[in-house]
Amino acid sequence: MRALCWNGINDLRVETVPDPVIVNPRDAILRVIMSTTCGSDLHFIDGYIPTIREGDVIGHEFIGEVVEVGRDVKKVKKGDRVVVPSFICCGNCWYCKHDLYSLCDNTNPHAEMQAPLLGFPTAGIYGYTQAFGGYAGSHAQYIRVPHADVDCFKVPDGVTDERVVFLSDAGPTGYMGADFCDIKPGQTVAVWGCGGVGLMAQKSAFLLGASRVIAIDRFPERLEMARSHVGAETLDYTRVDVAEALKEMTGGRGPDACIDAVGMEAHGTGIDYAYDRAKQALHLHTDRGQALRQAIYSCRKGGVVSILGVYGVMDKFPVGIMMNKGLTVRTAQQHGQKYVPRLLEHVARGELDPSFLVTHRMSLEEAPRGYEMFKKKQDGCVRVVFAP
Amino acid sequence: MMGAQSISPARARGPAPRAADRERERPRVNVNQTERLVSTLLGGALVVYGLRPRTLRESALALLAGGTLVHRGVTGRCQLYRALGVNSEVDVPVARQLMPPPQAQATVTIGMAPQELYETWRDPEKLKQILGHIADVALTSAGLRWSMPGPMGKRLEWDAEIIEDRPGELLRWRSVPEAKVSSEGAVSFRKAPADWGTEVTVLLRFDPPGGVVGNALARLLTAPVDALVAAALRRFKSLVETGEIPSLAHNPSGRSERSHRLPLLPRATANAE
Repeated sequence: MRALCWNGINDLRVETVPDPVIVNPRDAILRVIMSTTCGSDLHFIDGYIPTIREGDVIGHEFIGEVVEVGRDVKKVKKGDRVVVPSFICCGNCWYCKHDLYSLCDNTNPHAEMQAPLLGFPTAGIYGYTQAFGGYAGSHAQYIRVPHADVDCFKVPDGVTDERVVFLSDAGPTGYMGADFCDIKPGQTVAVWGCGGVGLMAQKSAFLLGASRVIAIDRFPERLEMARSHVGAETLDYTRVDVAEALKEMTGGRGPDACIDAVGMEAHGTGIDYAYDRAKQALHLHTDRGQALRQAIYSCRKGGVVSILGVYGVMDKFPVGIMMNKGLTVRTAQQHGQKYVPRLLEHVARGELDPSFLVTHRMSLEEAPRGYEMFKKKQDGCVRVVFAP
Repeated sequence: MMGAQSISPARARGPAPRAADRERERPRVNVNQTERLVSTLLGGALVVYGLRPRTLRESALALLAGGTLVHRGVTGRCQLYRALGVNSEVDVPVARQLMPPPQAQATVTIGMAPQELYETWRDPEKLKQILGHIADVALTSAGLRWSMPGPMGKRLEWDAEIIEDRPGELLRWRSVPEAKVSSEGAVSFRKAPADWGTEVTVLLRFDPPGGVVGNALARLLTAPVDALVAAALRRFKSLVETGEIPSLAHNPSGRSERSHRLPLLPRATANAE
């Protein structure tokens, strides 16, 4: 089959690789219908996440059609059109049973690579470095999905592919980030980042009852999306002092909750940003944490900071501000299996239509060019979808 | 992984951790009587040698070395032994203390009852899957038959007998006296708090042929035993909790013809920014 492989820093190529096969009894093989770029891919494409190997098939946000199932697969049937969260979960361990799916104990075949860094290993992810399991990713014609009955969610007929493809990752990640904020009526939520996850977090904050959502980014077309598709107010951090502006907009209190949907390659302004950028360039440090620092600083006293952006091992972190302001910090990689059914209902009721994130459609063969556009945010690119 | 719940016989015999901490603070006798006598005599001779008319350099060296040896002999305390963590006063030979046989212990929590887990461990098919990455293990009437690849293409095979069997709690085995590889192991099952299930601890110790040299070789040639034990526990957990062990067999990649080296950091190959 054809698949998009990582071959080195900023070197992606579509190659012919072996087809996946059923390996374990709970596996399914899917024909990939649609697969999308994700901002978190850029971290390893740029070389900031170790343990990716030359030849790895990348991609983790996708929908597909079931073409083969293992002998212990009971619910999922051949021909089903399904959306699959990017984290692979067994459904049986303590973490899965407590809705903490991305912490699953049983799906990372490379647990020994990850445990020394994190203390304990996480679940595996499709196409996202060897430390996160080493599973082949979704930018391919076919993909093997372990624990198919737990990880495949059937898409109702009549719902278009573009409406559900983001329910694989950006949707549940954003929804989880808003859920973490424990939103009460009348509250204001500020969201750093207007990429797929940020826009989904903003939309979810409204779905979960926020009165106001303030979106922060620097790209005019993304800020426009936040205004027109989500109904958020917006701030361009290159034009205003974000913390001051947020204070002004909230009667001098600050937002009740702040969501970081940016992560380790944040852009920013001023001395902090120059410091982070230099350290990262010298490989002294994997992360640039401008957005997160600003979120912690801007949040009202006793508020919630919800971290969705992906980080490595950040060493300069304003814990004193967090502590003295009594902030609650909540964070996780997406517990998608908890949220996908709820999101499918929102989509079915017409309350959520993430398809506006699709700015570019390409064939799989064009994927390297798609990633180039996505990375450089050319031509107003927010998300590229590939149809193999 | 020490303390009250340790199932390691070697550690159980040793001093409690707190006593060990105290020892580290205050030097104590770590040289045996014979060695102390030899040390004192040799040191004395060196001092006498150093006191005779010599070059300054020779005298200084002889007096320094002699003084150290005499001090070591008289007090029974050796700084070098202390730094290396060995002690010739105990039964275990110093060389063996420096290169102990590969041994590891690890614990994992599994969401099932102790009795169910104990039964899995006594199921020949399951045991094969759990320990398959270390050795082929078959259950025999007397105990376990082990077979694993050894140095220079030879297979190491030996029999172990079950020496303790408490259903739902503990299984302990040890190689029979005539076995080529002396080894022992144990698995214990303790109920975990709340809804966590069972805490399972596995201990494995191999004493390959060739004594200290064999130990050193085994360390060089095989994966670290602690990594093998940790992997066995993860395999066991996944197998009983999900019915399968996570696998990357036949995993598609663009690597078929290329090196299988795993870089720790990605290498820049093209237009890196």
